[in-house]
Amino acid sequence: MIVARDLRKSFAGKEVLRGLNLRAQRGAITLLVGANGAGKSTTMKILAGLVKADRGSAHVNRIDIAHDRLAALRSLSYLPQSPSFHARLTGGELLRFYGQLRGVAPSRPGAMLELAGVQDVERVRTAALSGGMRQRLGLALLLLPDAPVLLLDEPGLSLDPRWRKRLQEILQSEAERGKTVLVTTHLIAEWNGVADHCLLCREGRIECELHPNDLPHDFEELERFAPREGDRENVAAV
Amino acid sequence: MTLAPVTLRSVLRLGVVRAVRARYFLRSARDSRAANDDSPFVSRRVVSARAPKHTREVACAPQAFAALLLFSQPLLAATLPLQQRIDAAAPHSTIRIEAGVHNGALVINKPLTLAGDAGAEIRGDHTGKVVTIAANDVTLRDLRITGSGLKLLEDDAAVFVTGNRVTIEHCVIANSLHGVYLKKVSGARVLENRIQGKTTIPVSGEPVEKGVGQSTENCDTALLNNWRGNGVHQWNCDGNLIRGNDISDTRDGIYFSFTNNSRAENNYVHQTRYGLHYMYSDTNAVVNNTFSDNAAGGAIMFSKEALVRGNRFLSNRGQRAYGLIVQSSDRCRFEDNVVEKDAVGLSFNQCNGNEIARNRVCDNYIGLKFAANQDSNQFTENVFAGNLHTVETGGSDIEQNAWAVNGVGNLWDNGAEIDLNHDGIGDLPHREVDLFGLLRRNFPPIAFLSGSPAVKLLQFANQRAQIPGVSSIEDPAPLTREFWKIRARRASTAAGAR
Amino acid sequence: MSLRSDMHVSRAVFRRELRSVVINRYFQVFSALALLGGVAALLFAEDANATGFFILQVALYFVSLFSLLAGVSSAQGEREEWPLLLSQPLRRRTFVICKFFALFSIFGSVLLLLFVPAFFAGATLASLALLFSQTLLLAAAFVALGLACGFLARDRAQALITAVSAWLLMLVGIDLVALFAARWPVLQRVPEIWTACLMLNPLDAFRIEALFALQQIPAEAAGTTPLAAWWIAHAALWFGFIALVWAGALTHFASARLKQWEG
Repeated sequence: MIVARDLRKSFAGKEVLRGLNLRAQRGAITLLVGANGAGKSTTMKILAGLVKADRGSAHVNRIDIAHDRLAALRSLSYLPQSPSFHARLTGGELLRFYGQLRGVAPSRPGAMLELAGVQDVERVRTAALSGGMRQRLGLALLLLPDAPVLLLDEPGLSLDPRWRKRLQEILQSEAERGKTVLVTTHLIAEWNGVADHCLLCREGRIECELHPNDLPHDFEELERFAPREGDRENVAAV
Repeated sequence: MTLAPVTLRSVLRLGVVRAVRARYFLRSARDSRAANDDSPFVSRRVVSARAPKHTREVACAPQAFAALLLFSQPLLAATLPLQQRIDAAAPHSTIRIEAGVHNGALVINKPLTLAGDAGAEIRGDHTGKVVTIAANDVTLRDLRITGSGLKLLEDDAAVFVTGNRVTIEHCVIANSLHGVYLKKVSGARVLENRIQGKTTIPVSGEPVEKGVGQSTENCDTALLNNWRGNGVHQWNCDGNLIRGNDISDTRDGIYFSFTNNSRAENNYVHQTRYGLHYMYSDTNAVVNNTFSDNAAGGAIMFSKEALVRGNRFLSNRGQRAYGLIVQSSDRCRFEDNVVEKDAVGLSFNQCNGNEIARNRVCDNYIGLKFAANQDSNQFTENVFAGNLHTVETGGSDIEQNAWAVNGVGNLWDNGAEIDLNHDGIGDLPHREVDLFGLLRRNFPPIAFLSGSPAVKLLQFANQRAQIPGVSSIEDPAPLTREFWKIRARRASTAAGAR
Repeated sequence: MSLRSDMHVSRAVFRRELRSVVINRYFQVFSALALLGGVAALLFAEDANATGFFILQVALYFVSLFSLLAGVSSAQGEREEWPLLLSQPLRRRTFVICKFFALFSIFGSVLLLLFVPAFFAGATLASLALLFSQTLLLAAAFVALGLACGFLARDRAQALITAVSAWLLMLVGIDLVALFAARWPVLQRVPEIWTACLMLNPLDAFRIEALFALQQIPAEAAGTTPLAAWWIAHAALWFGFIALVWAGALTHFASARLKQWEG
């Protein structure tokens, strides 16, 4: 479970988050959608321990990330937008390193490569991988520690439709196993009927929750979307 | 080798004093054994000798000894005190000295040859001179000579020579003040001896001179607690030859004072103060010697027209140590020497008209120290390489000296080596800068910048454009590393054409 | 979580860093140069002393520079991976310290390429061991400087410019200033301050130690002030101390910089 309360963050005097409140349920996929600069990625980075909030609190699995960052990070796994890796290490070396770092069984990196369909990159340097392959390698890394909370920042941008679908299936299966899955995305329509919750982020706060089975078809439609008063009240309750 | 004839008169004289002599021999033999047991010095060439067995037996039985004197001429000759045998010997004869310790002091006042068997030692009683040669044409050969006094003012020495044409060869000299002292002699030859200075100061027992620190003839003495003399000391001499000696642990190795026309060659001098020391000595030659691990390899002072050729001045390190220091000496020639790994390689102060050619001055802390007020010195074909500071000029004006002769300069290892016409001579002048200059004197910690890349950078810059106000040597025709090859090739081509 | 309590994290970072360094081009070039230097010392140096002097020059210029570049490269080489790396349960200080020790270890191995041939050139084991340890400490100080510059800068180019500038300042700049400042009469009256400035620079401390202690060049400056005399007498000890202080302080600075990073 993820709970963020009144998150505020400014960069160089520009306020990016303006009291963002968020809750992502255990056993569900929660989408965080919004335009560029709305504060989605910053929220994800605060939750992943990469950025410190100026104010407010963020709890991952009931652990305050500002208070005990390492314990919080042990219970989550984060896939950044367009993941990059050490260019001269191979996929296998990378998986083994993160496996050792998270203390997973030695057999798990191989299994995750297989799950992400990138068993071929075991001996390939990451610099030689295409964007899609890198995303899939990132997916393998995300799943490697079997963490109870999964954070995905714009996954699937470089994936072909088949693998975007496969990603959703995998995340659904992880959610069914009781994990908390929080995803930011621009590809809203593809998640129609897949996500359990969808939060609309605008100007540094969550404006409303959209119906997960009736998501806008495209980004323009999302931009035009005007929440009803009741939706705002729901979010405020969160 | 012939023995000196024993005359009847000498036998009779011995008979009168035999009881005294018997006591003397008894004590002598006992002292010899004790002294040998305690001797700190063991020669590489001559094993320390003990008194022979027959000598001890004779000493214990004076009557039997007297009988032997009467009936055995050869045995008589061998057991006489050495001074008696010398006195009794005919001029120009040879006295063979048997193995064992023979007491000094000896005075030789006729032309003689003293030749030692293996293990023969003449030992002084640590007073005065051990062997005094007061006659011409004396030869000492194959002897170990030890135990002189330690009074510098009285010129105590293992061998003290006032006769001309004396030869001292293949001897081992130790535990003495001066090794060989040549006083006002000519034609002396000191050949292939091993001279080791006295390295320890007696706490008591050996008489030592109070106030050591002055000397009779402008000869710097060692520190007050250093009582050493010189290996070969020459005063007011002419035409001596010092060759093939191994000298160590003395004050100066070979010392020339008011000594002219003499020659030192193929000597090895180490662990001394000055390996070679000239004072007011002219037209001498120093050739093919090795001076290493001294405070200064060589010091040529107030002397003229010396020839210093083919010597090696090596590893003379320590504070203010020098390979070769030349002070107030003119018209000398320094050729083909190797000056390596010294604190200061070559040092010239107030010298004029010297020729410095074909020397290798390498791997020293300071390669060349060249002070003020000197002119007309000529440097050519020298190699300056691997020195931490190539030159130290002390900020003085040094423009009156020639850094190239007939268009041939020197090799500077940090030079640019631009030689477009391939004649082995650089096309641009080489400037060797002393960045520390007067700061060495005014601010000695500046030496902490020795070997600094910053200093090297400035030196590099100075070669391209002279830094104003910084003293530097300018070699108008610096040599490249190929110079010698090119010259040899041209010479062989010219010879082929002829 | 500390180095001791969470060894598997440290071990993982250490191993990854070793692997990264081995495939690093700077490091590969340095290894080749070290071997070349060692062989050159063996072939061309006239005696053991010359070998030591040659190695001293290599250490002063190349070891310091390459360890610096290795540090920069290590800090900047995986910068784009930081969002992934730093979202792992890993202390950033541990990350930097492990990097430092991995680089230090690998430099220790590679410097053998430089020193082992010198042993066959006749240098004594004791003198080589001392020179080796001092060179390694020099490498440690400059690896830490490289890491500090790497984590200080925003990108690789800025990191390289910062690091090389710092290296030039320490190699040449401080001595140039010292050379000109020595002519200032006010400073000449307080030679201890002038000397202390040199003592604080690890490259100067290394040079003085190597020249005057290891090479046994007579130090005419030794008797000038008590501080100078103490420095010459304890040159090896002082260099070891100052190199460790620099390495420790710069590694701490690097980790502090990484802690501030928000990506």
